Amino acid sequence: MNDAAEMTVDGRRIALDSDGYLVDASDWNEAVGRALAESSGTTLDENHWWLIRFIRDHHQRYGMPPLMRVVIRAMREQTGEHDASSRTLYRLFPDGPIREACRLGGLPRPESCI
Amino acid sequence: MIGGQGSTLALWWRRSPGEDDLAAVEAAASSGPRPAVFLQGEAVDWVADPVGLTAAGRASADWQVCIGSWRRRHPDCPDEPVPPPFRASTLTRWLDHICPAGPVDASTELLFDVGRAPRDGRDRIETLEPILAAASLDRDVTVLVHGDGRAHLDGPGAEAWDQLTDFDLAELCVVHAPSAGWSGRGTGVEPETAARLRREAFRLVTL
Repeated sequence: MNDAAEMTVDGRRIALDSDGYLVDASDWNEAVGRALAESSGTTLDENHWWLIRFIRDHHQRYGMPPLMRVVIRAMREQTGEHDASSRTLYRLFPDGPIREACRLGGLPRPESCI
Repeated sequence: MIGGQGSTLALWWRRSPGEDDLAAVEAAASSGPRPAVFLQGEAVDWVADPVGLTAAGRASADWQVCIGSWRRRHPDCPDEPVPPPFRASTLTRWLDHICPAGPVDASTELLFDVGRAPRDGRDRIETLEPILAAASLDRDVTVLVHGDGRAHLDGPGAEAWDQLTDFDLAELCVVHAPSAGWSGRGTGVEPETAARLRREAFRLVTL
């Protein structure tokens, strides 16, 4: 995506930045997350949603998204994915699981290079 | 901050360099392999206007810029390319470069020494990020916080440091006077223990 855009969800107009992140984080709800995913060709299943919620919770608690190793360990403990690895996460979001989960979860684009 | 990796000098700058720093790079290049220089945090401000960097200096090193620090300084245009002779790099790539390839014979592999108070919110996060980057590589990491550095563990943004202990990413040690004790974030250690940790660490990184 190169230009700022907007989308309409349940009759509400939602402003997006040039990379598809919400301009106003308070616009987010699960319907918005679903619409963002569908606009990029992804249908969210329960593992996608687990990841999005985990990253939102982590961001709220620590002010930043988690490290991949933290997500993998939590996924092994909290879901049926006992062999979860970075590959599992990249299968969910091939273009970058943490970054994409942030975008679909209405969080700011991560600045960190980690 | 200077460290060595094999026979190649590796320099990690977190503040804009002065004349002496630049002269040290040129001197190193003239007497050995081209050093690698990694600019992170405030040092990245210098990249837009690299005062003191001569034509010879430009060619004398592999100038790497932390892309996270760079993006943070270009919020309206995060894809702004890093100008030559600099090139974009990442903290994880840099830490992988300066860490040993295999296991080390030391009680602590990487010790981060934090003794300076954060200058602002950006500095707060850019002090924590190298520690998280090392943890993301599954390195054995200890953080030693002391003196004014303890301000990182208090106030807005301090909760980010809880990741280290909540997820066993690093040992967080806070130096306190023997008579005072410590009841804040991390584990309190006395100065004697801190000195031993520094002495025994395989690599000491001052943040």
